[in-house]
Amino acid sequence: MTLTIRFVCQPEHSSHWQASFELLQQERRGWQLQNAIDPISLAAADALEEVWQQLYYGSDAFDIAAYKVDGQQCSLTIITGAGVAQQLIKYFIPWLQSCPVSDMECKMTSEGE
Amino acid sequence: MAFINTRSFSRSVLKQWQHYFLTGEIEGKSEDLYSLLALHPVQTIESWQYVLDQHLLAKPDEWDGYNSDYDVNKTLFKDIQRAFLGLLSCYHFHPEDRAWIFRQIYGAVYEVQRLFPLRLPGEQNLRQIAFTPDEVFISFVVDLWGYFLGEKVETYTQYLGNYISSLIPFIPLSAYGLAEPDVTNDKVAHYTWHTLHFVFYYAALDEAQADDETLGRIQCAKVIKALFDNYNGELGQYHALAQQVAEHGLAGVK
Repeated sequence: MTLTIRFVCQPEHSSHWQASFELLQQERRGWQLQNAIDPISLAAADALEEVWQQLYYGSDAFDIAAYKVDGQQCSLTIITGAGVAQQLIKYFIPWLQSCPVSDMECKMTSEGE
Repeated sequence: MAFINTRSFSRSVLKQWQHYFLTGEIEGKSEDLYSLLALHPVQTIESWQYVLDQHLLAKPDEWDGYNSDYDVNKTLFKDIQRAFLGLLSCYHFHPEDRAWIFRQIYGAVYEVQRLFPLRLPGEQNLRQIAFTPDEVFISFVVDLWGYFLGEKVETYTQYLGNYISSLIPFIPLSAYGLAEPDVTNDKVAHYTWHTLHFVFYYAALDEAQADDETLGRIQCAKVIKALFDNYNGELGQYHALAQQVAEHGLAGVK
């Protein structure tokens, strides 16, 4: 399944989202990612490990196929199985929404769609 | 604590391991055998035994989800042996310390019937080390190979000269052949053959012309080469292989 997430971040957070997405893609999803998210939201950074604990296989449960931060426009394309995709919608999306972002869109598609 | 760069530890887990690293105390028990052993502040037989007895979640009735037929100790024994061989690489010990740890567990030289010095939880007797000479030697040459390729900045293997010398009689002569040994059917020869190419190559370089990185490799290569040069037993085409590398360098070596 492919999960495409788009949102608008605050202007001062663009570089931090860029860095966070990069760490996500590099599968450095522990303390390094938490530190990168700190400037966006300290509470969200601390809460991230609870999100990973909810996923089958933890933070290794998905791959980042692509990401882009263009000004305030942020997008993230995640590839994973159907079960984890549902879990990401249930736990990761609310976590993202707890950050100072707006206009969140999330679309799930399967191969061939 | 450089090992954390390769892990996905969250901050709270990291804090827990930092506390363990500084104090030897951990809340409850853990399944992370390698971190329990490698991060304990006292690296001795006694402290490793204490870790196994006190901190490791290793008794079948303590594991959630495993059925009663699962032989925890059989798997655990393999894992503990590995912990003191290749897997210590993840914890960035100084290579001389790493070599010292190796000798505590595996001895100064290879012994066919050496007992593993740590008792598994719940067992009365020590078990005999299950690794074959091939398995130990592959671990060494893979470490060396990675070092010569630049994937590692240091290697502990160069400090285990006596142990390596004691394994040379077990290396198949195909490791010294002029053709590359098959990786599937002749694994130890394959890895040794490749590593020897680097050993010959670097040992022949001029130390005076080398930068610091290359100088380390040259000195390591000379140490390893001397072990083979001084071996009195059969070495097949060892000298012809050395000559081939002298003439053609690392051509054909990955």
